[in-house]
Amino acid sequence: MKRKTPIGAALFAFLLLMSTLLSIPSGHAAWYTPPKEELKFPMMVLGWDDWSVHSGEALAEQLKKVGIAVEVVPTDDSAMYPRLADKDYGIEEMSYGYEAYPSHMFYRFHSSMDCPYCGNDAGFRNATVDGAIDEMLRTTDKEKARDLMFQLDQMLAENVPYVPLFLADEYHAFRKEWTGYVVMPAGPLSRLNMLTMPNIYSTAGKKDFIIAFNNEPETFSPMAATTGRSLFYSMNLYDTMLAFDENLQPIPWMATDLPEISSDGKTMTFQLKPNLKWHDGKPLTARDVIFTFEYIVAQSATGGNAGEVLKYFDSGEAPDDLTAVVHLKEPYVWAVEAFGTQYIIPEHIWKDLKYDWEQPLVQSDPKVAIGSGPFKWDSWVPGEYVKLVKNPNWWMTGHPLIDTMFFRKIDTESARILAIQKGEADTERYSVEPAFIAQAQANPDLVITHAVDQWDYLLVFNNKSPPFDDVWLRRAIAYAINKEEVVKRGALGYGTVTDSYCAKPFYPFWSNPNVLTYPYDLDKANKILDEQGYLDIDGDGIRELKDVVAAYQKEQQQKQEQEQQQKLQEQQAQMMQNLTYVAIAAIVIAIALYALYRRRKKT
Amino acid sequence: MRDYLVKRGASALATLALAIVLNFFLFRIMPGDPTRTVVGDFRVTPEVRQVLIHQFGLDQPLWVQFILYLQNLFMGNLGVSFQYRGTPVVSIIFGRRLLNTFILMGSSMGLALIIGITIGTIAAWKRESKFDISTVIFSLVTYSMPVFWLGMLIILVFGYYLGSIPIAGTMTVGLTYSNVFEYAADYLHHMTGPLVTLTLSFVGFYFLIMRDSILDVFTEDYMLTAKAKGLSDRKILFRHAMRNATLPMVSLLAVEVTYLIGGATMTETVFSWYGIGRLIYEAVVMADYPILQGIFVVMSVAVITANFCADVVYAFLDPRIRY
Repeated sequence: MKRKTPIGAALFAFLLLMSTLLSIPSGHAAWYTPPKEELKFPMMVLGWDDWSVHSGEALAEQLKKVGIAVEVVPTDDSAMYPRLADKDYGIEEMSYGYEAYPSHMFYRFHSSMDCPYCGNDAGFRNATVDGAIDEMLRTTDKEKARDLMFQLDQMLAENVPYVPLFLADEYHAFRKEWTGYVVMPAGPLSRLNMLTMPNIYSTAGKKDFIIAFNNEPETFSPMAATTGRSLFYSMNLYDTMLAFDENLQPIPWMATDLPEISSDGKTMTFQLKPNLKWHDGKPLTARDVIFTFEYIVAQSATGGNAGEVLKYFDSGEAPDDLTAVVHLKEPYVWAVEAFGTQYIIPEHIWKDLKYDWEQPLVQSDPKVAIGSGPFKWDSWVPGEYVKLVKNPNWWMTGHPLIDTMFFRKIDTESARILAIQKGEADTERYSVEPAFIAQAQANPDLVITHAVDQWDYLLVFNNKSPPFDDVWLRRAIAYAINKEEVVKRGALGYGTVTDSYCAKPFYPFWSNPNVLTYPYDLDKANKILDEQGYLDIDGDGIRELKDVVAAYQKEQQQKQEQEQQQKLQEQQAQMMQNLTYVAIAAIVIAIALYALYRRRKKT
Repeated sequence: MRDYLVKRGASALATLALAIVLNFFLFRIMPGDPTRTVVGDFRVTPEVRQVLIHQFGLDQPLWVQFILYLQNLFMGNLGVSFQYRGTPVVSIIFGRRLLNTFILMGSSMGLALIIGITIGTIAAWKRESKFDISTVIFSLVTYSMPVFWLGMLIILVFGYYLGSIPIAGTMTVGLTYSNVFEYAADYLHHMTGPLVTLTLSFVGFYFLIMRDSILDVFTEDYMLTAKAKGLSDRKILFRHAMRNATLPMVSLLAVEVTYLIGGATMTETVFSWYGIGRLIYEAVVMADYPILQGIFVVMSVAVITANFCADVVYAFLDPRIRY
């Protein structure tokens, strides 16, 4: 018996598969359809982030109380961000993230940032707000800029482009022999905190500091690093002219003082400390500083504060070894911070090194790790640890106080906490996860620090998509949310409620103390919804859309009018009938009376 | 015999071609946007984003990407990773990760196989004895136990309370080794936890298959013949029954080769074991398609080769197979 060969069959299947697969369209269809009938819509939350999911569930329950039905849809990173980019959603809730200075007030609200992956996910466009942002960005006087920021915050509060929910809390667990760390917003070990690593020391005389970390370094290059997980290495290997203090205000670091700013706000002059050295012993001069900015612009590098440098850097010069003069294209309110905290790279190494995403790991080129920071590159065993050692020639004499820092890779939080409790690690890179905080606090070997973290959770509306284009609906939702309850459910209580777009716990300087807020008030929420015409007309507990209600009401009115008319007619007919009866009765009586009268006469 | 080999070889090659094509399109029809992984941070400007997307060739039409993929594949180039900015996938897969996974999975599967076959045979022989019942219960429990939970328990008890095994990794942080043996000892010490966890999770499966397969063999006529010939119990059991009952294990092993390369994601994660399983998980989360594609190609090559080998070995082991 001759059977078909397996090769032939396979070839046939192969061709069939190829033709079907090649015909698959590569673009994706829209996911979201705006509601047509009632206030009922899906809400995206970030599937891997328990905080986002549980907060979303709490929000859904709360909104149900005012007749808004929300279906929580846990969504993957890779599906969520494209949808945000395409504005293919109605409502979503997750954390975004604060910088050391509130630059998000530009990214999240300016209409020029309403483009794919630009930051204005809400699609919020308001010419007045744009004007206020532009004016604030151009103001270099901090006090004046702050007044403008207060006004801006108020404008946003009136418009409610999104509802700020809460900031995650930052709980850091250190073994108790460690001290000298500095706690500030985003915690003692964040990429904003340059003060902890040079100052931390052990009262027990330990010189090795082990940080448990769940991630592998993506890159050590300060020219390529775009995430906190990579920038933390850059921060320790490279140095900056300025650092942030406990209130996230700039303080001199490699520079002797904050820069002088010209009266037009377009020129900054940094003075460097004398005798700065690179890890290879060569002197660090103002020329290196200017080179760094020129390099970023020339190569369109992506790392560190490169975005702001690219946007504002015009030219620079170094009149002497210690003076760096930076000219800006236009004044920028946070130019001091953005340029001051850019990691400075050595000209003698990078001048021939192309910024290249293909070789930013130290392993392929150890030169990439030559910086001037408090620590020097030592070694990396992939999957196990990264080792950095003390830079003995650092400008802060005697610091760092430890000899070595290790980043030890431990994948799960339960293992990291056990490792710290056992002494296999001294702390971990990120905040203790909520489920483990109580356990860590109860351990006498550990000290738990507390600060607000940089992750701000938001309920974001697609401001362009009905019904969320109605500011009254957004306001009503803002009133209907019990943020304390959301924190309790979403973050197990380890969060700090935020009421403004530039939240006070994180930005005490920039936050408007008198800004309009939306305290939890169900009656107010219901009243607004009623007044605005979102009524539950079919009695299913969900309010119908304005148009639907209006159409329904019109129909009802017509019906009523018709009924009234009919009633009137009926009444009239009845009256006529009654009248006729009366008339007949009168005639009969009259006839009867007449007949009676006639008979009387006869007799 | 030659015909058989050629036929098997050709079908193996055809399967491989199919796997390679599927591998490409599978990732293209998945929802999600790989360009975001390339960009990393959503705050980068649209211009920078365009540059990155162009560097990775994600702006090319699908069929161009497909041809590039085939071209590169034949040259042994599996592309560059999105998340580890431009690191070649080949160097990410064929490195410490693969070695770690291979050692861990190989030794735990080997150990589980030896234990499973041995106690499986004995349990079948002493069917319905206390030994049989207790081992069946034991293997059912370990087989159905969630492996990550078992791992966490082992870490908690042996790593934390007793302090006899390290909590994470494959080596002691910052330790410099004076010789290879010291390194090997440290490595094995770190491997104890995941090894025990995985062996326990595998052993039940092998045990149950082996036991059933022996019980099957016992009903065959040649067992009666062997008994009638007056062979000793030991000889019947190990020479005749066990040998024939191992046959299904060969095809089982050919399938399980995937684990040797793919690793065990959960166990590797719980013990922070730097292996391929963990890499797959990370790549899925980060939508790092080149890494996933690379791993799938390597895995399909391994499975197809192993199955081909199993077919050949079968032909030798089992005279009933006709070419």
